[in-house]
Amino acid sequence: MSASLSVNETVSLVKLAWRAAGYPWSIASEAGYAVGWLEQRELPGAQLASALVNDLDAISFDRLKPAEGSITAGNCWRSTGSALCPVMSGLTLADYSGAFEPEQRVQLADVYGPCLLLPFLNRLQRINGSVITLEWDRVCAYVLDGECYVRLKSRESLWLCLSEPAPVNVSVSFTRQITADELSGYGRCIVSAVPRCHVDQSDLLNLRQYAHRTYAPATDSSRISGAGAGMTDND
Amino acid sequence: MNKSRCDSTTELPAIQESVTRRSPDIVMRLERLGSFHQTRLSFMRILTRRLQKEQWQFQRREFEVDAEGVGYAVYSMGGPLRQYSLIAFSHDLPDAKRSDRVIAEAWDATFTLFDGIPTKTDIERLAKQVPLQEAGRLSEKELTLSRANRSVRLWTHVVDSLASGKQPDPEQLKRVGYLMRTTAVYGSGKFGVVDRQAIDSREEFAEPFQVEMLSVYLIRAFVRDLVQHMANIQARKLGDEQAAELDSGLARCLGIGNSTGLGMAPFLINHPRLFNNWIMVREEALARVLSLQSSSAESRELFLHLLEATQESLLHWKTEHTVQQKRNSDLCKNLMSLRDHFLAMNHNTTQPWLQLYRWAMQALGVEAQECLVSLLLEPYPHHVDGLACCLSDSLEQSTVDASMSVAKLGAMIELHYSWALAIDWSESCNTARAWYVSEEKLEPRLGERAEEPLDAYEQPLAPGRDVASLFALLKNFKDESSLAPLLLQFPHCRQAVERVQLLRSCPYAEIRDNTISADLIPYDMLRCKLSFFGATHFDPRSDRWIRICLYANAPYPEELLTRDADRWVYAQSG
Repeated sequence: MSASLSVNETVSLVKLAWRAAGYPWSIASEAGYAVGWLEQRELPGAQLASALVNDLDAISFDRLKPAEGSITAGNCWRSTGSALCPVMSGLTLADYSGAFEPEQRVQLADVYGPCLLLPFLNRLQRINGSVITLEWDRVCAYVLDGECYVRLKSRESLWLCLSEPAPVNVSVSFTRQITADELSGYGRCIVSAVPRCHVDQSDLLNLRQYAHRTYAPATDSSRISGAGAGMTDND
Repeated sequence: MNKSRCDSTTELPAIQESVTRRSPDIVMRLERLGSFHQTRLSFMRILTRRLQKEQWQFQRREFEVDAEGVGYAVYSMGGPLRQYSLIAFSHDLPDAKRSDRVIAEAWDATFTLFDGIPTKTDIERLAKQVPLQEAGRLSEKELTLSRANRSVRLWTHVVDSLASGKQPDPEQLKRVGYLMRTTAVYGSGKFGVVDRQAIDSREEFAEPFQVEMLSVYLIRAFVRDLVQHMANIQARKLGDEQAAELDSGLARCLGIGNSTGLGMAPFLINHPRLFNNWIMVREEALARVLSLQSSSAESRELFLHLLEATQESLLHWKTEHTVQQKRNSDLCKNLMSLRDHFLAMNHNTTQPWLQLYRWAMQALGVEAQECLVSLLLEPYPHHVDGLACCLSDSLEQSTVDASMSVAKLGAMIELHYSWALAIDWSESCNTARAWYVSEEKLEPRLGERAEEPLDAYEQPLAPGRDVASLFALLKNFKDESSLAPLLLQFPHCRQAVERVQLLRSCPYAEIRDNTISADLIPYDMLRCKLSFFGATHFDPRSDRWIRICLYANAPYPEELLTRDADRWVYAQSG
């Protein structure tokens, strides 16, 4: 059973939920953006955000960032803790875009829900200009010219593979160009004219419960300081 | 008002020495932003001009309201390409449940703006959802969700008067100004309605808040018809055949009230690029007028006429708020001085409007200075109106340019945020307030940090503090370093970096005042936003809650082709 949400509603909800899980507002906001980007292309953004918020809630955000040493040392990024946050990893890839040469490959060790890297690789592609390939397990995705193309290496459910939150090793490679032949067999993720987010009721409930934690409990003082508190409205 | 005076095709004085836009250091102070008035670029006026120009057709398709005032109505407007329908649900609300607060749970009337003409099935679906407001679910077929309450004293007076065959007292109409006031008009995907991005390519919605403005415009027509309907019912109960028909001139002076709380304030901080566009367009319009080498007798006559209309309108601007009363009193005196000076000044000089403006900056208060800005734009639609297309923001989310050097970012902060660097953020009075959302009411609040445990719930609405904090961190990095290491080490700074960088292309994106200080007046932020809507007669109910009036003196939909659809805001009411 799923609910039909607007993209803006979903983005706001994810932002609050990730904030509640301990993320800085800046990163929570980017998580919302990433989910909106995926959902507009009918990719599993909200489902991943809901699964990840459960996993990440128990871990200090600082332990989910790429370790600076692993970035400067070379081509295998590792987290400061046990696994990498896809939003923070995606942002960092885009921030270090100038460091990536054509035909270069970067490995990211143990990334949660790697599908969430795609919106940031799209951003990186716009800065860097290269064709970017993202690969993990059975999934291979291209990002070029603001478009995203996905295929599976085996005959399994695409949705199931893309919505898998568990940490996996990921490869990001940069190439100068891609031929039409190389793209054959890939599904282009098209932005719907009137995009909606079909969010599973259990994910919606979960995200709402997290979001609720960002609301301050009422106090006597806050009741008095409400915008129209204690005033009559009838005129 | 003479419609031909809207059109100054015969008067296009050459722009020779152009005046630059005012500095953000002057414009973006809260005191000034909180003194803005409607202009010809206000969103309501943009809408009514379009409706007239494109000859939109109005139709009251259904009006199924019973003797208790319960039922629904469908009002449609059709443009060159599409039709939209207001579906209004009228309720029988006990007086005790009538509240202007956004947190209320029942209203006199609830509304949605529908994309097209609704079927019976659509209306049945919406009848179950729209009256619930926030607790209901809407779909991508709906554009807005809103509700309104009656002004009890005026509603009763108008119904009683008409039912007894008389017209209502014009003075009472002017004193209140509206029969119903909305307490929220939700769009942009809220509660399931269509996302703005899905409709922003439609030409009729190219400018900001046009969907919301169209909703309120049709609500006003429905409210006029509903009060007449209730008067007719009452007349029949009294044994009379028919109530008096509300005089069209009296009806026209009525707008729709609106009560706005703190929810509007964060909008200006959360949408910096959009806010920049609003201010930039207004400032560009002003600069164009101030640059004019001369003024024609026709434009001066119009300016004087509208100045006097503004003075007249001030007499009907009622408020019990002592600060606003003082501001209105000062504005009244200042506008008299402005009129005197305007009549006495030599207009056969170079850049006469610039001379007038410079005099005003020395002689008048901020409220009157900004009122003058609005008036200066009026005689020049050809210089001003075309800027409306720049008011919106259709870009994707901003992104940080991490390749920028630490030294460059530091220099930008020193240039644009000197006001924030000058504040001692360790002083408790400078961080006395915190913005948060209350669990009990799910609405934005402004709390006292020292009195409540708010830090964990604080919303990111203090850019000055955050940029000052970012500036202090920069010393940990080499000048020539890119920002990537900083953003990795201090991810919470990303938003502050983004805001600083945005000022390269959007100089008016940031309010240049402390938004969490002990002496913050949130009213300034509410009024600023409402002035862009085109609101008039600001009536603060406290420093964080304000009542306004929308569309007073505007033509009703069926009058659009025969009355002034542009400068109606200056019409003498009643």
